[in-house]
Amino acid sequence: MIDRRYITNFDWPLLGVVLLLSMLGVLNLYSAGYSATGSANTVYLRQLYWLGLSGVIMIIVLSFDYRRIADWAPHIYAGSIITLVAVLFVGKTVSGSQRWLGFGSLVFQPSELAKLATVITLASYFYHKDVKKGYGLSDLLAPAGIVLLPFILVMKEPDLGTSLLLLFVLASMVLFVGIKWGAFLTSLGFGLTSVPFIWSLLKDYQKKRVESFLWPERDPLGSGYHAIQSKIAVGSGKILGKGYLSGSQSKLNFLPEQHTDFAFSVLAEEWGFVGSILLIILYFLLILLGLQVAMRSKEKFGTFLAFGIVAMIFWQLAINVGMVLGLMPVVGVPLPLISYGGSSAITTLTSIGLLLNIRMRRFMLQKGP
Amino acid sequence: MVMILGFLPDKWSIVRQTGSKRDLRIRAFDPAEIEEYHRRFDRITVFVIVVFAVFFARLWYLQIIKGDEYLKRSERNCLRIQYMPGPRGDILDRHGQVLVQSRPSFSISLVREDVKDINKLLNRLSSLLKKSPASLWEKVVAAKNMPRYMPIRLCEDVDADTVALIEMYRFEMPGVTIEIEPKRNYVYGNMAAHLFGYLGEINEKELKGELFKNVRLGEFVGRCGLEKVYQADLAGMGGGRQVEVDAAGRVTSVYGDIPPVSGNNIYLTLDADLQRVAEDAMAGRSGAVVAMDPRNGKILTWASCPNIDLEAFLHGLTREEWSSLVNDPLRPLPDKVIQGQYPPGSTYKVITMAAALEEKVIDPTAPLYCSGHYPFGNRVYRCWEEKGHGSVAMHKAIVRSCDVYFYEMGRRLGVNRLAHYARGFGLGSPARVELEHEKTGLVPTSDWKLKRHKVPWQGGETLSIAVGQGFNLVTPLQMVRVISAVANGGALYRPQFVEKIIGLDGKIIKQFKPIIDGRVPVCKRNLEIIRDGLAGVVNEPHGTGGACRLSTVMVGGKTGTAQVVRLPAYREKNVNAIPYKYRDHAWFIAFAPVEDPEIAIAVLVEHSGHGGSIAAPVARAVLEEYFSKKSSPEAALVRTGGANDR
Repeated sequence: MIDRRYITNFDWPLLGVVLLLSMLGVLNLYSAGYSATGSANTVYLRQLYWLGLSGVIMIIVLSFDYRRIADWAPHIYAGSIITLVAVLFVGKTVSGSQRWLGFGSLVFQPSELAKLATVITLASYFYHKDVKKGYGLSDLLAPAGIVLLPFILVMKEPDLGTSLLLLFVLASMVLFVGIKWGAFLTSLGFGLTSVPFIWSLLKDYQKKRVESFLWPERDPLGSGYHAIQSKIAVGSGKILGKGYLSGSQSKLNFLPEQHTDFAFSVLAEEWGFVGSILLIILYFLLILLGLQVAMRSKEKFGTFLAFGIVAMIFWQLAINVGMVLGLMPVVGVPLPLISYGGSSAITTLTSIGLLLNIRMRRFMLQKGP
Repeated sequence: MVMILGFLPDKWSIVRQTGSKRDLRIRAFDPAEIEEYHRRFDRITVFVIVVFAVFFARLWYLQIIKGDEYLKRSERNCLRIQYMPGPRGDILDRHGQVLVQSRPSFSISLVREDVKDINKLLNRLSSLLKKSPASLWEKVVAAKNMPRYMPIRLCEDVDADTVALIEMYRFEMPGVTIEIEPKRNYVYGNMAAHLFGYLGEINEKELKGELFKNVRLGEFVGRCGLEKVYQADLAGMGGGRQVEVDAAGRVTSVYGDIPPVSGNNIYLTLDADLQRVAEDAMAGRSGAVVAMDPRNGKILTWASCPNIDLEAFLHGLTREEWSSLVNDPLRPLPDKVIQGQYPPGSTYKVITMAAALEEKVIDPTAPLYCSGHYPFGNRVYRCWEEKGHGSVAMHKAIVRSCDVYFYEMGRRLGVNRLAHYARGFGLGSPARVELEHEKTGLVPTSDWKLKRHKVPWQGGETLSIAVGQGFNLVTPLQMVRVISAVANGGALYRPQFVEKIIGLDGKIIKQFKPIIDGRVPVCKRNLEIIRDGLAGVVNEPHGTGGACRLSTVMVGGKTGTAQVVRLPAYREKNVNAIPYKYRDHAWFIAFAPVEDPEIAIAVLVEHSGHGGSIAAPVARAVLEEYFSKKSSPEAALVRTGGANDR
């Protein structure tokens, strides 16, 4: 019999926000895939299937005590590294990047899972390696190594967006758990001085790729073009938008990747300022509720894990929305729950499941032993 | 499966065994820590609020302040991308003469986004371009999955008059654009066409492949020959610009621009003058001429005649053009230097001679008697000289190409020992050139025949093999390696086409070095005896190769006449009276100067007659050009000057 306290401690608002976002995502994907020519529109259906599968996984995640994951972390990490290595050898290549592993008709993107695996491993590390007065330099070598390995593997695919995201998550978590001033300045200095060194090791075509990432106007045929088309789409939505299924930028194929990276542009064009702000508010609530989970867990692993997950989701949406609004370079990072993507949906909903898990088991500590 | 990875120390495990109860260990915060963490959460919340405020402000700016402007821009949809393909690199000869280059050409394209009524427009265009509306529709339909702002190419390489005509009416036809793009230009027409290879428009399947990463729809890629082998080096890097256009599709402003970059230049080992002389000498005939420097394997000429029309391939061949190429009795399509397989005829006697010397089956000074006939089993094998050569020792036998002498050598050696030497000279295996579809030829052995034909080897067949008839098959390239090895003292060089690849900045990207693939199993002394004999073939009275004699330089060579059919009916007749496909192939292989060889050559003329009368003069023309160019100071000046210019 289920303990009643699970129900009373359940974070219903968080689940509500997530469900709302998922529904908005499907609705928006229907429009993104909708075209005047009447060709088959199946993206939203596939997203629904993926969400269904992700929901089942989320329920499974709720069924056990999240603290066991701290023990599983090495296995989860090793498994995700193995799939990342496998993708480099047997992965499917789509438009120049080798990112997908295929199992029959199912295609999976291991770098998505690697994000969550890295967060879990970092949380587990900080939980086990407890220090009282901030982490020193030597304590940070292990977490740096934990992130560096998937970082290099994902970079090789190449998937610049996801690999940078890993660094953002690492930095956020290190700052959160506390770091000694000396260690902070040293690692900052080390990071800055290693940039020119790494730059000299890069091949010419890799330098070009990084350059066009940093200065999209140097790539007017690729990302620079996409950035301006996205701004036109968002801006032309004005206050109330052009109306559902009536966005001209998306319907005429001016937007690139409108199902995935630029899905938010479609929404902004069709729903205008009102719709965009609604979405932004929902995300704001998601982040705040996630932070609440981290803050109110009385136990360290729960706090670290919840914070890592929130950081992961926050940076993804910040990079994606920044890109769509022309504030950031164009990098392929999906918008959680809005962009089409099976791997992204599974990773996001598993993460949300973990947040709910942490939240609903916090009562166990109220009594104490 | 999970457990094998369990490297976590026990004390770290979160599961605690307390009595019979399994419980989860808890590491709670102490009160001081809780305060610290709450301060951090406050700071993080402020940061999150700032980020979301920025998004709010940005949305306000884009959608409310700038909304009208963006709405206008989205209605006009005036941003276009114009691609500019990068020109392919040039192909130059060893002296820096440009053989193949890129020239600008005009093409007519269509941007669907700017078109008002596509039916009317295509009808109008079809009358201006003199093309059927259906063919234009085909191109539009083929590109239906591309974004609407991307230009679709309708007509390539249009002449200046048509460009002027389109330009004149362009304001009436919004969406029509004229683009300049590089086109392959063959400076010497179809010279060395098989070596260069033709280009073809890239297809959908290739577009998805890794090999053609920088190539866009509508561009041309190497389909065969060096153009294909060096596709990655020759291909340019496409550029383009992002522009704003007005309602008629005319560019009003340029937002960004990436200039296209040419491909790398490839310097061949080929000599354009020798190549031209070789092809002129072969005019109207079918066959191959290949010359190489025996000291390093560098290819000097590479002619497969008749040539294919490279220009025609650029425009795409019609079905009729294809079928006429395929059915042409002169077989222009295959590169006969590596894909033509022929019996070597008497040129094979070089190998029989090497085997006889090396295996010591005869004293080279000991004479045999040639009566013109050689009875073997229940058959009589004939010498080409019906009257017989009388008393012949080895030198005279090779000079006069006495069949009877070499029948006897074949009998003494046996087929398998002959095959060993043939293999040693590189026959029966590809020379491993970079070009595709190289044929291997055939070196028959008794085992091979039993396996292939299920019949044991017959002694008489060995006699045919010894004089280069029967099952033997060789390519002209293999024969030029044979004669090169004889000339250079036994080294089998890998044929080399490319001297170096030079980048746009003039820097050497790749420099190629000679490769020795092996040595022939013949000692230097015996190779000298063979060279001496081959010098006699050309220079002694009654030698069969007199037609290749030069006054200035001593040439050594060997004639060959490869039978296509053995029909007594045709034996005595005038060559012209025999049906074309039954006529003999003429061979000549040569090297010069005999004392210190610099050039080796193999000539094959299909279905033409005797090697001495048909093939030897072709070789002579090339050798004469080579040595006159070398001795003439004017030519030398052009050579060094040309090399410095580039």
